[in-house]
Amino acid sequence: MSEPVIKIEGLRFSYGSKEVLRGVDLEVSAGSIFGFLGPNGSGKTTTIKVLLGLLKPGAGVCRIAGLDSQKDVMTVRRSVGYMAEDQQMFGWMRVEQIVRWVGSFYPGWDEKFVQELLDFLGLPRKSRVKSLSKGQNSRLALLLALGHRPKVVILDDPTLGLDPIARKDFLRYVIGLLQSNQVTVFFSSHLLYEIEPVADYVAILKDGVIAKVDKTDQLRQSVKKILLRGAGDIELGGVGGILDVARMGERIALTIEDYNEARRGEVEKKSGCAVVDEVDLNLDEIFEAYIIGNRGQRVKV
Amino acid sequence: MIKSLFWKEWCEQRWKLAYGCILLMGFVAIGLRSRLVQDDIIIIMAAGGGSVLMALLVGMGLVATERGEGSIEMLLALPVRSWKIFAVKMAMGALVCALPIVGCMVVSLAMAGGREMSASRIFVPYLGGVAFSIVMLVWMVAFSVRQPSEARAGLVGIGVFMGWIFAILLSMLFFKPPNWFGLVITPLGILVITFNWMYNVLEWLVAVQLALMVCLLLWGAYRFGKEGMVKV
Amino acid sequence: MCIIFIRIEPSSPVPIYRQIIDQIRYQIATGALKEGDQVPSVRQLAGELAVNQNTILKVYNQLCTEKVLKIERGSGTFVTANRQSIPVAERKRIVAKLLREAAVQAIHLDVGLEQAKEQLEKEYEAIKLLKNKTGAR
Repeated sequence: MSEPVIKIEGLRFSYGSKEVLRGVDLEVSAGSIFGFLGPNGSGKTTTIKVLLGLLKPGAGVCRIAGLDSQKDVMTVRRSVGYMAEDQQMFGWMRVEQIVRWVGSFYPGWDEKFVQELLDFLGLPRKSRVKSLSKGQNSRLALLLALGHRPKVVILDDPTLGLDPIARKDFLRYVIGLLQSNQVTVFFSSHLLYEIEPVADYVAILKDGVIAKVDKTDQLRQSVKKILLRGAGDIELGGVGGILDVARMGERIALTIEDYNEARRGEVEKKSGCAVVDEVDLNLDEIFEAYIIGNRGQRVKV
Repeated sequence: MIKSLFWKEWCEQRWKLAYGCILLMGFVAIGLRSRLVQDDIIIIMAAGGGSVLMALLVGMGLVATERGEGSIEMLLALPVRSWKIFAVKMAMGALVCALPIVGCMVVSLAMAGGREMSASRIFVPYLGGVAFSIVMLVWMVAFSVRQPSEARAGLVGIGVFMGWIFAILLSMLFFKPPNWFGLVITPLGILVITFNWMYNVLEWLVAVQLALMVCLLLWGAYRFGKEGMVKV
Repeated sequence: MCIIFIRIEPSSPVPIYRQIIDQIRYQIATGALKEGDQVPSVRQLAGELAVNQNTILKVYNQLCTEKVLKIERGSGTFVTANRQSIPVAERKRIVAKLLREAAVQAIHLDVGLEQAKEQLEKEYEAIKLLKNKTGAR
């Protein structure tokens, strides 16, 4: 496997005494769209800020395109496109002014491309940034991140606050402008049903570590909800990979990862129950299971 | 790159320059014309009061506006060292503080030069005012660089000024007048010394204040670029 | 080039690529897409649906393997005539699964077997009619 474009190893970060990241490990391969999922406050923005050299981690290493995030900060920023969460720009500047202004910081700024993008994204050149709609604001922020033709683009919750049409349009731009040009996209979101159609890979951040990382379609296939039929005290401790346990009437609903035929046998043997049904889950349900699932060991029917 | 930073700060600060010039120069012009009070009172009010006013006005908006609006995030994420951004802001801020006072000096010299006071006697207080304004700006910004709003930064500025007053009053308990210690250690000494022509501690004053300013600028630059939870 | 009307249900447990495959198959079955019709390119469909290009690629590859679509170098991707490439057993299994869901619902809602059969016939005829209509265009 070729060298990953983004590589995070053992990342730790604390805000004062509160430990937010507790050893995050992540690899993003070139040209892929990587979705970074997590509930609010889980540390997604913190991780991204460390990648951009805006925060100094307590421990761990981040590398983008072979460059160290902390040591080669300026080179990283010149090679990476970044769109901050709910990015506030200088309201008094006109669109064409802010574009030119940001461009002056990047030696690789492609003026011709930027002019085409302005038209393509439908941004009014003469308007002041403060008078732009939220959708236009997001598109402008995206443009500013792409103007220097980076090979890696990092988007922090780019569709925050957008209406559904604007959100879909934004994702279209990501696919059309970036995926078509083999640009690696790393973007964080907490709108899971939205990430799924777009992302090649998904990583779920929980309690400061990566709870799961997988190819998007494999994630769906491997996590299933199975219904068990049993009675009395059921001991589930021996079964690995349980994400959620719930009683559904006389059945036990187990949300379980890495599920296949072999695992079915394992579950039946170790719990003493019969598997009566297997249900596909959507990504919301999978995410829920990872984040707030009840990892209980024992159930009474 | 640096040129862009200067351009941005200029566009954002220039209205304060205009405001200061009109207010202060207008005051001086009317004051000197009307001759209701002695010339040196007008000049001291303009140089002293004007320098405090400009420092507060400019200091409030230099960093805190961007924090309040949230645009500071974008600024700090650019591929340019944060201390450079800070330096450009301070330079432009100093310019905007100084120019209205210099303008007042020009007006005063033109209208009252040689009238009650000689040109050099008019010149020195304004010079002191410019110096004091810049020093107060540095102190104020250094302490308020992580404040999340202009109002809070303004309060810090006033607090800094009051802090100097207290320092002088406290030192009066330990040192008999003329209390060189209190005057040298706080920037208020700049005003007092230039207004009263007390040159014997000038070297001390300059040395101490310059050293303090350098420390504050470094400290401010460091905290300016540091990300993390900004206290609200 | 034909416009394919595909609607993705993001919160469905059915994987997205599966939804697209099913809908393309449905459109071919009802005659909305006919033999020789050109389907949008991977890029175009990905852009239209706001779906990852690799997913669309997977869809097209699978449909090509099943000989439902064929890629002609330089021209595009087209609907083939051959729709019988899926083995009979597999085709029956797909239909059986759907019918099982219908049976469950029918029993649950107290719809009798005869009524259900009647309904199935009605639906079958309706789709066939639709297909012939669009076919005879």
